[in-house]
Amino acid sequence: MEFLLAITIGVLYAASFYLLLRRGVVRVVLGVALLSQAVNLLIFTAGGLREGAVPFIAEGGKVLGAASADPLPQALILTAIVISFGVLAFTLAMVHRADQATGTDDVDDLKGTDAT
Amino acid sequence: MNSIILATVSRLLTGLLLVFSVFLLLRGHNLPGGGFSGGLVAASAFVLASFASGFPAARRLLVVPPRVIMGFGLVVALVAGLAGNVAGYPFLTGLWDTTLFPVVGKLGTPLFFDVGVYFAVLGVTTLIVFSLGEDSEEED
Amino acid sequence: MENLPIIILASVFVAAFLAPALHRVLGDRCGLVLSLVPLAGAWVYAEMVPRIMAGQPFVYRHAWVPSLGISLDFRIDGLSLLFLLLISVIGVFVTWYAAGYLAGKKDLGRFYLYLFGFMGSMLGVVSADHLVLLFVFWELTSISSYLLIGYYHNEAKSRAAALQALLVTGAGGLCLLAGVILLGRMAGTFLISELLAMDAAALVAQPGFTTVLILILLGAFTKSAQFPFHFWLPNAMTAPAPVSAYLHSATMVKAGVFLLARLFPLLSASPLWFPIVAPVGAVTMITGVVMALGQNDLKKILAYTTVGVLGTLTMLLGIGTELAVKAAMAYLLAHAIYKAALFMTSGTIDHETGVRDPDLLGGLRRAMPFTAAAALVGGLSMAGVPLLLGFVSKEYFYKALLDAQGAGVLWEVLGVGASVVMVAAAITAGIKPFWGKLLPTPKHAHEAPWTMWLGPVLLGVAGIKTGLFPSYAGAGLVGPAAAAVLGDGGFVADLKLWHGWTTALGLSAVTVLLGLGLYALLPRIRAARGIFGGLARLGPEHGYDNLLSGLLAFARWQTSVLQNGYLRNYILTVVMFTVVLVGWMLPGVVPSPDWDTMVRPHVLTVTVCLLIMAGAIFACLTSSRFTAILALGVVGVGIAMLYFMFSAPDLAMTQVLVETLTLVLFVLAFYRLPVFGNYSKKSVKIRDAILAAVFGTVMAMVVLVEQSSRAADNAVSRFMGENSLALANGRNVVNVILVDFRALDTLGEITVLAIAALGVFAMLRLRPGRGGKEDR
Repeated sequence: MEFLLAITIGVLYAASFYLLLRRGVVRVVLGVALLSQAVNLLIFTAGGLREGAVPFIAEGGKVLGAASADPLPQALILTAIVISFGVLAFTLAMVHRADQATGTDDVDDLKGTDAT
Repeated sequence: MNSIILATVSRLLTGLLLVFSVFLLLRGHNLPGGGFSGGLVAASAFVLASFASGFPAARRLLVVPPRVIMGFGLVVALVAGLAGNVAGYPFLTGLWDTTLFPVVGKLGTPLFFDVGVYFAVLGVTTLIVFSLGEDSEEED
Repeated sequence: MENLPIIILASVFVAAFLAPALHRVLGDRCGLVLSLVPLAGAWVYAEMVPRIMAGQPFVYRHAWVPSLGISLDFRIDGLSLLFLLLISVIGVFVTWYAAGYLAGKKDLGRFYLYLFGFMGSMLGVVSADHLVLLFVFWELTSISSYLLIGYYHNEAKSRAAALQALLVTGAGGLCLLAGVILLGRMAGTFLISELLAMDAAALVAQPGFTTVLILILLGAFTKSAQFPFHFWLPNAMTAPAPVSAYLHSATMVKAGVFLLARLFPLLSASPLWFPIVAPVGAVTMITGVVMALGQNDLKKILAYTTVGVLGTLTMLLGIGTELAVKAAMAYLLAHAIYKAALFMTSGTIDHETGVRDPDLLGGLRRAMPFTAAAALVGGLSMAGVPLLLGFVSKEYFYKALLDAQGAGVLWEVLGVGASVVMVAAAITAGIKPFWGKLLPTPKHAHEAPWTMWLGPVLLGVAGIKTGLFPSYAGAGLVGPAAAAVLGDGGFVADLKLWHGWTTALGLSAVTVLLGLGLYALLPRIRAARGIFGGLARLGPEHGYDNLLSGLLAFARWQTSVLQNGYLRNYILTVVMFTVVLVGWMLPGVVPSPDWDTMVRPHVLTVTVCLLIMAGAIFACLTSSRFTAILALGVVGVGIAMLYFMFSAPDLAMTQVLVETLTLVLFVLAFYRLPVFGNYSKKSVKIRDAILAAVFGTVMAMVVLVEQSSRAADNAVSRFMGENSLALANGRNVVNVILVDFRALDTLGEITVLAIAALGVFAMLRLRPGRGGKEDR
């Protein structure tokens, strides 16, 4: 499974990189979104894969079972998911606004600070 | 985006989602849930309402402006953290009451912190969605 | 009330930050209220004179960054006190003066913010007992002076002068920082009082002390406008008159001299002290007065003579005899008093008549009697006419030069020569505009408001009083200051008006006579102004200009190479650089997959992975925005399912919610827009696809490496797992980490989110030109 996930992550990175290199601004934003997904999945697999072992302390138990999934990467990713949402929202608003101001979606036309 | 069916269903759904979001928030310390997911569910409720009956109606439903909710959340989280200082511990140290409550379990400042997260996330999300949505609508 | 001097220092900064609000409430009168702070300061400092005379310095210590050994250490001795009094008293006058000079200006509040910020920094410089603290205040004076010089920020000349002053003094500040740190390391203490109590000879003998000396001297020389760094000071005359009166005569430019005096016992032990400091001072002195000759602008004349005086002070400290130090302190006091007054009166002339060329001014005394009186006293003191402090200090100056080591006669000739020019400049700036025939001016001349003449008049009174009874100033201020410089507790400077028929007296008389003669020649000298312009162009300012334009050209070049404005080029560079670096190390460390230890693939998980990959690839290939956004949604939900299947329900839930909201945002932002524009050529697309494939492969291998190298036991995670219930009463360890163990991170996160949301709101809903329509 880890091998398959490695390939999946590789494909996600490759796709996001390809999209980031495009000139259409929406594609670039899609690339940003995909990149954060790839990173989150990377951190997740780094924490180790466990099936049916949620990182909760069982009723009656005092400590987290040794077989449980690692809670730390999960906490990190939870934060990352919400932060990427904020970043993406900001990017989208910026692109939306740039489109209103300039009427173009070509990144190359958005180089300057002044509307063309 | 107005349709009668959606508007009717959404009224019910919005209420359900809000109740569910509070449920998620409260049980988050022991089971899946918490401020982040609770806040996002609550925000979804208002997003749904805005799609069904428009942004003005959704704003009315929210009563206070999103910015205020966002600020309220931040302040609650901060105050929950400062409680530690007041008690003579470092910032954000959790303080606990020993009584057990249904659903929530024990009461403590981390729960209030999570409530702050809930409102901050709710405010942030609705502020973003409403800003973007209203701006798009104005162009048409 | 032990710590009154510190309270004063703090309240000056508080006053600075209150100034804009105060200005909004009180308007132009806010200056009068603000001036109460330095006035109180002057009173507190004056009360300290007896105890300082008795040799009891004021000491205050407060831990600041204990882990770095930095504390707020203040120590006020005779030298500090002299400066503190000058800064606070002249500060009061300048505050009043600015209230008149800048009356009605909209941003007067901002001006006072800078001015008081500067005042506080300057008070800090002279009372700090810790080298790092001194440096911090030192830099603050540079920054606040930048803001003050550039006060007329819509004038390009003003901005250029401000930048020049900042760059020159800032570069010197960096040298000073390096020197201070080296010195502190070498001596094992950063406390100035401890440093000065050490065996200077032993410290000086240490290897590397020469570097320390030169670095500290560079800091002092740039700040005090010593040759070849003097050029910024005359250019800084683009500042409003109160700034020139305060910063460029009495206080900031003297910070360098102060530093030299402060560290005198230590640095002067070096054999290099005299051969470096005295000649630099002498050259500066001569440069300043020669350039002053060619100016036809009152402020520039004063500025260049200030350069000359700063050179004189440096030269005296360089000579370093007991008499020279005493003379330096007396000269410093006298100069601060008369030069501040003259800067203010010439500013008044400019303000009331609109003219700064002395040739076009005359006979203003009837129109502005108080200003004329103050300027007369200031001018006479500058010329060194008896019964004024300027005379007394010049006597000591001459005596000290006669007494100097080495070629005393040479020093004397240079000193007298400089003083002769000072006489001519003093007549030009202090007397000429007010006496003789009244010349017509663009604005009808009349007396300025009292705020603008009271300060100079009081300074004049001070000049007369100290000139008539120099022994008080000598015993109370100059003596303790000189004693602090020399590190000799029992020293008392007996300033006297009358020394008998000495050589110095004779030289004074000759100076005044020669000065009168030079003044008569001035018009002819000024006619040859072209020569001075040429001199200035050949001077070090030319080097500064070349350096600056070279630096800018280099910056432009490297920006055009590295930052060409094409987003994809940046991304390409960054990613390919990473690929090369990581790919370089990968061969050999990528393990062959160990199928046994891996989690068994399940039909469902395999399907989900394939879906994710298909979605990602589809997002790249589709030409419809909408399908691309949907494909992104598929990827997101697929990943949420993976989270769910591998024991992360919280992640799965959050991911699904975020995916939904993201989809909504995409639709809201883009639903109006048509299909993708097709910009790239096919060849470019193929190239990018190949590069992306390479990057993807490298990342996949990174995952495999990281899989095989993971530590079996993670102490942090284990701690959290073991203590989640015990310490934080929560069974959901992920949530406990978020709201308890790492709550600070979460607090930071929601703050970032709030900022992002405010950014979105501001960008879309608060823009100008929406007809003022703003929603709730």
